[in-house]
Amino acid sequence: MMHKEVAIIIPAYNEEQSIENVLTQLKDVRPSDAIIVIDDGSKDDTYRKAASVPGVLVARHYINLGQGAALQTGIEVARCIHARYVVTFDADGQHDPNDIAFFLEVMKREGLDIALGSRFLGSTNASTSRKLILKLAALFTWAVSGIRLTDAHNGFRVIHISKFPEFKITQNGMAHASEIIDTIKHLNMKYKELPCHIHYTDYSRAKGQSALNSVNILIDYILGRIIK
Amino acid sequence: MNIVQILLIIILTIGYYLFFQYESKKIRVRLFLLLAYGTILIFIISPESADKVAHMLHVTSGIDMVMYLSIAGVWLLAVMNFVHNKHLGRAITKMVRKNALDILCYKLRQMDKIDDFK
Repeated sequence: MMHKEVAIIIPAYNEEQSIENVLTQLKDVRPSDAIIVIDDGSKDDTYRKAASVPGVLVARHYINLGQGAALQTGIEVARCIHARYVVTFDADGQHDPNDIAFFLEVMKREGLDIALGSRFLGSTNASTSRKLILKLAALFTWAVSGIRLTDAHNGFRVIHISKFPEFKITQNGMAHASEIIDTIKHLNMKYKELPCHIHYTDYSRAKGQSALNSVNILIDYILGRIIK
Repeated sequence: MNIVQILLIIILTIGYYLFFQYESKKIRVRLFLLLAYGTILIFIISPESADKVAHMLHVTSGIDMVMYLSIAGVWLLAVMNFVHNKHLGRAITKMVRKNALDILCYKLRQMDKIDDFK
């Protein structure tokens, strides 16, 4: 029976260019963790490339459901391998595997239930428009959930998943980030924002969310709260 | 009766028939649909009756009343469709996730690495 303390969940959609590098780096830095890739209905070679990296668990959605749905599938896999912590990690290579150890160390030392990555607690090379959108998202999250963060939509988080069997992501799309903040409040989780490194590249910028899509995310989030 | 009225009645009847055939089998819903069909049919055949009902409801004219009711009806249908789609989306998510987990579970079980998925 497989039993890993940490499971790293990587939702991937059309990431054939970056997925192998990301997984190889993760395997080098975190050899004893479970690495779970959820191929979210990619139309390219993402699944085959992810599956070609030894020791990586790859599950596949046969249609594209969205990042939130892929994360929840990953969480279910993590629960089945009895992982204590899950790390949510982007497939486009913008996150740094070395941050995982720092997050886990702080979580264990301070007894945190969830540690959220923030690109604004350290130095960032995010564009001004992106910074503005993320700041607005953080303000909105503060207004709705009462939890004040500097970066509400950072994909890098570590969650003490074994402690919260009821932790579940129901928002299929990008609104899952706001839903997680709601869940923190709902489950009374002890949280902290920690600085994380984000390596923006032309590739990751191209894969990122457009400013217009933030309106869609907002609508999804509001509707998700209304329609249970 | 003019050509527009005849066309409207045909469209309404086809729509009602299709709804009746393929949609809800609940008596309550079917009775409501029958009532709505009958009312609209009367308004089409005799537009003056719409004016009379409108005056009773303190609406300026029958046309205005039909317009208000249409907007409300379309909005209601849009919301009902949206909620229905949301529920369908959830069912699809559940199915796709189960399929993904089953396949991974099968592979892992072959490697003797896992008990079972929920």
